[in-house]
Amino acid sequence: MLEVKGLCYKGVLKDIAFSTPPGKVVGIAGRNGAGKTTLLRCIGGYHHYRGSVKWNGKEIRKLPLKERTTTVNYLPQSVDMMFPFTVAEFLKASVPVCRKGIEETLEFLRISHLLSRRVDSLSGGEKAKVLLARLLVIDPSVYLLDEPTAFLDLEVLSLVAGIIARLKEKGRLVLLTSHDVNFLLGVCDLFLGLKNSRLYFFAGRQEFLESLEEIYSTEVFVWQTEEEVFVRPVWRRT
Amino acid sequence: MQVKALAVLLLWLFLASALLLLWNLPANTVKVLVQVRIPELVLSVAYGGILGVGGCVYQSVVKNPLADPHILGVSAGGALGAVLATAVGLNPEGFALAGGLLATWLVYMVAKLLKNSLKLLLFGVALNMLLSACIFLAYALTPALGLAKAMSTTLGFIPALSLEESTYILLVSLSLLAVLLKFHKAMDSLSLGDELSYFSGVLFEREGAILLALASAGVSIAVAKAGIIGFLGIVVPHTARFLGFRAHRHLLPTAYLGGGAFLATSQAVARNVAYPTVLPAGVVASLIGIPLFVYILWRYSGA
Repeated sequence: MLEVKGLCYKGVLKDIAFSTPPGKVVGIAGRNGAGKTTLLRCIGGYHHYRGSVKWNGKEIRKLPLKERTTTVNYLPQSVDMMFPFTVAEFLKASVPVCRKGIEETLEFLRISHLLSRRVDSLSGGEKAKVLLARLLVIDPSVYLLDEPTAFLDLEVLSLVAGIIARLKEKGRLVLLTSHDVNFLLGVCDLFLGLKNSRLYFFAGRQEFLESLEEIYSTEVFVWQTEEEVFVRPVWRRT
Repeated sequence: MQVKALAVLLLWLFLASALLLLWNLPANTVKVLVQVRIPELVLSVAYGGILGVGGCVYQSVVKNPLADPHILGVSAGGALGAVLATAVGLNPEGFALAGGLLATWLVYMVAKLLKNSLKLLLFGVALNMLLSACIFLAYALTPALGLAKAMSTTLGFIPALSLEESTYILLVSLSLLAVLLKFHKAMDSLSLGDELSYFSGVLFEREGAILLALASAGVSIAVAKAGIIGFLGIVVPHTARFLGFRAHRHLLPTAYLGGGAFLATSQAVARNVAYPTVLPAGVVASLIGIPLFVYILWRYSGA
């Protein structure tokens, strides 16, 4: 159970409170600068927030280091290395505890052949897969995914969606931010909207669809059947 | 590639040692070797090694390819401590250690405050200037010390210590290398940036602070003996990276060897090029180091 209470951070986040059991996928939505990434980092304990963020009753940032990294871990938007490491060296440096086999994970993501390549020579999609591999090898109880869909082609996008579904089945809690509303609608059970540094709503799909226009401050076109839903902004000529 | 590079480094160290020991060797061979040249060689290798691994530490912890103890003012802090101690007749090493660690603490606090390695570097450059000015001020105000000594302190001059003293510095440098090697994974993690290192269980406030303090302590002790030598700390780790040593487990020993060989070469040249006048090794190191430094700048600017 993840419990967030009275979470404040430097005026970027004000009094955020919500709780969610494991085995859920929570999508964090909001406009640029709404505090989505900051919220994820606070939950991971990276920022010095006020308030409390507890996993199974324990404050996450006060956990012993090793336990913390396997309780909560994070997929950054990108990796910007000052000094070039190969994929193998990168994984060695950034994986504190291996709970899943590295080889099978790389095999699963189809990047085994990249092990001795330098990370800065990889394509955007390959880099994203390497970062994802790091997180899957650590296999924390709570996955924090920051924009896992940015700049990815359809193949990697469907791979990420499949991985999220599997994590949910295994009882992991996944929190993710994305600007891709359709992706959020496709993979998430719960939706957390941020507006003006505050929690605007925390609810299911239908409520999310209904408050979309308010969160994004724009008119939205929603196309919905019984199984699928598709959203795009209403385009106007100005 | 790496094995070859290591062999070349070892060969270079061997040749530099031979050069330093045997070039222009006067008649009373044994006495000169034991009392002057071997201690100089040992001190050069030790100091060069400290600068090499110190550069690795600063670059990975600060996450900037131009960071090193000299640029950030730590060497100047150590030198200022040593100068003040000498002026009042106290133990220069202890004061150098205090001065260097004080400068490191400042750099660390500013790093925490700014959270931006470029701004930190600017601060470090300013701190370095300030402390260097203080060093010259101390010399100007203390007639007993003399300007020639000021030159050797700020330009780096490898003195002929006793064999015991130089061996002691060598032991300091080797223990520094050994302790840093224990932290090799933390240094790898830290170089990935704050976010990734935090989520890999390595903290700038903990491992980063320890590493900076260790490297600075080593540099300060060496500075107390041989003055400030710049550029090696930047040039040597990058050169080791070009040769394919990226992970710190491999990078640290290579940087130690490379730094040692580089400074031994500099000292061999410094001792013999204007024989019998001995030039400051730091000046020769800069003369060789700056072209390398420019090459690294050019490479990192993406040209």
